Amino acid sequence: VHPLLSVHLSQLHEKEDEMDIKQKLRCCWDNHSRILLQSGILLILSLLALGALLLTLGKLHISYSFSPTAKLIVLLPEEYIAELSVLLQRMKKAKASPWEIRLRFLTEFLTLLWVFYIQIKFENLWLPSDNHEIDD
Amino acid sequence: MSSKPKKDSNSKTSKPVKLSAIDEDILTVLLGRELYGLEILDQLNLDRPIELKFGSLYPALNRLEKKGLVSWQWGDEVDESGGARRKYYKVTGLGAKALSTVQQYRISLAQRA
Repeated sequence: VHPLLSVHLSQLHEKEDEMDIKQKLRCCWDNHSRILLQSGILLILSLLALGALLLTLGKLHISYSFSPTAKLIVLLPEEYIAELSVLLQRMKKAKASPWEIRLRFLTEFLTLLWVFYIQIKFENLWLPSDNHEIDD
Repeated sequence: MSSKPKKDSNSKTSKPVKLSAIDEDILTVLLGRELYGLEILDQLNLDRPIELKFGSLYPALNRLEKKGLVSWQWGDEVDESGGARRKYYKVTGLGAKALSTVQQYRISLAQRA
């Protein structure tokens, strides 16, 4: 083979290699951009779904928002909560400080929890069950 | 099959009823009127050296109710209580009888002294 031809051929090969690398790079870039685009779409969809979920939860919370009394009735009998509320109203009327009211509420609430769930249940073990035929 | 002999209905009422000091106090306060828990406490704490609180009142009311010495009914007003109803307690016939027995015993005890 003629030396000039071999040089020319090698230059041609180099050019082809360069073209290949460029093509590969372009292809790789295209893949990356496609993946990025897909990820972006997925992220936007996820954010939209999360927003919708939060909105629904917010609406549910508004429609099911109970008063503090109703929330406390879940833990203690109705009459306990009623009396506790009256006691707090009295303290407010007597212009007791908010901290005093909170402290009293907390101590009474904890005492009532103990009384209702432990002391009364324990005492009922040897007390007679409700007997309404005794009176009247 | 042998059937158990029926108990006399008066045997329950003739049985002496144990009353603690606070039980007696509550029955005395409730005689002839209906009160809810806080009102009972108000009456009891008027001259009491150590203040009585819900922690002592509710177990006592539960005891008295279980023994048939007090009965209760729901109140109608819910203004102050934030929507929750109050229980109004009153002394039953058995409760009045038990209290009267204890008071008579105390009188006779005082007379002996």
